[in-house]
Amino acid sequence: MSKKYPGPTDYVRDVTENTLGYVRELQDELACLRAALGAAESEHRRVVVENEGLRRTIKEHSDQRAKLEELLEAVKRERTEMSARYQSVASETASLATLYVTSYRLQDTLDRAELLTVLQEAIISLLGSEAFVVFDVRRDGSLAEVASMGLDAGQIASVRGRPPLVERCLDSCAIYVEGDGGAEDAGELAAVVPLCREGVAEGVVVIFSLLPHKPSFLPADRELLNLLSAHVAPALHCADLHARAGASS
Amino acid sequence: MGKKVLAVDDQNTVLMLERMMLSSAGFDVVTARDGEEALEKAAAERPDLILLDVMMPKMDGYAACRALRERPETKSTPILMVTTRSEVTNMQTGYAAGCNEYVTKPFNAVELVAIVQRYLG
Repeated sequence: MSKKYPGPTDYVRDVTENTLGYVRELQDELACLRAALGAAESEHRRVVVENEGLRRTIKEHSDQRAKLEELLEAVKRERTEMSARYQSVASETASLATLYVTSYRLQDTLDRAELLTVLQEAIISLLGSEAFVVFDVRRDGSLAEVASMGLDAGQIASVRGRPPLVERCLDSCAIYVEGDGGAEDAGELAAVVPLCREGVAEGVVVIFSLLPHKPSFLPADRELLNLLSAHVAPALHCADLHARAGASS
Repeated sequence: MGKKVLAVDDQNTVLMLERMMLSSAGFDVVTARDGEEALEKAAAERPDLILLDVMMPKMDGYAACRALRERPETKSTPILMVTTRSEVTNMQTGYAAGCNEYVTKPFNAVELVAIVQRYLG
């Protein structure tokens, strides 16, 4: 049996069929690629639209955030102001309470010794000094010690000699508090408080120092010293009148 | 009825200031003038907090604080020492005696109320 070999015609037919099959595959693949491209273009358009939406949302959120940050800053400013105002009111309330109590205590008794106790309590516990002396001004102008705390005899004697600063305070009925101008001669005196009645000094409190934990006088302390300067002498005068009236009756 | 505070001080001016500020903040305030009276008032009134001066006649604040801590009814009552003595040794003595806090005079009355509120709030 003789073997039949493919002829040229068969070879051409096979090649043609193979080529046509390959072309069909390529056409199918192309169709798939076109479909995929269409889908990708469609997805791209959707993403672009979505992106625009997101950009708008981001811008809205940014605007909103900026507004919120502004609001937050305003709230912070308001909080700081409120805090400062609270501190101020608290400080004023504390000062007024101190003044009220001192004033009340000075009006509450007609006993001279008790009044001097009130004066000392105010200096020790409300002002914060344990180094002070209280003098009466005698008719001849000399100073007579009526109370003192934490000072040695030399310090008391130095005030009794009416140094220039004490002299000026007695003459003018104006208080001196450490740090006030025009008192380079204050020396170791921290405050001088003339106790005045009708514009005349009838006594004087001289403070040498504050307690170690109190570094300096506060604005409220000046108010307290002003109150003592104005109210102690009239209270002592009333106490003296009361005592004299009691003695004569 | 508000929480009860026992204020102990030999100075009427301080007691009046403490009473005025704490009463206006809603606390009931009872007072004593020395350490011995403080022990009596603490037993009778059962305060929720005690403000205790240090330098007082009869019995000072440290001794009063130690005595209060030995009593079951005031063993855990907050005790605030209120004093002009700010030296570290005094503070150490105060804490060793059993006080919870050390407040120096002159005190800011509003701040004192805030401290009391912190314990009794």
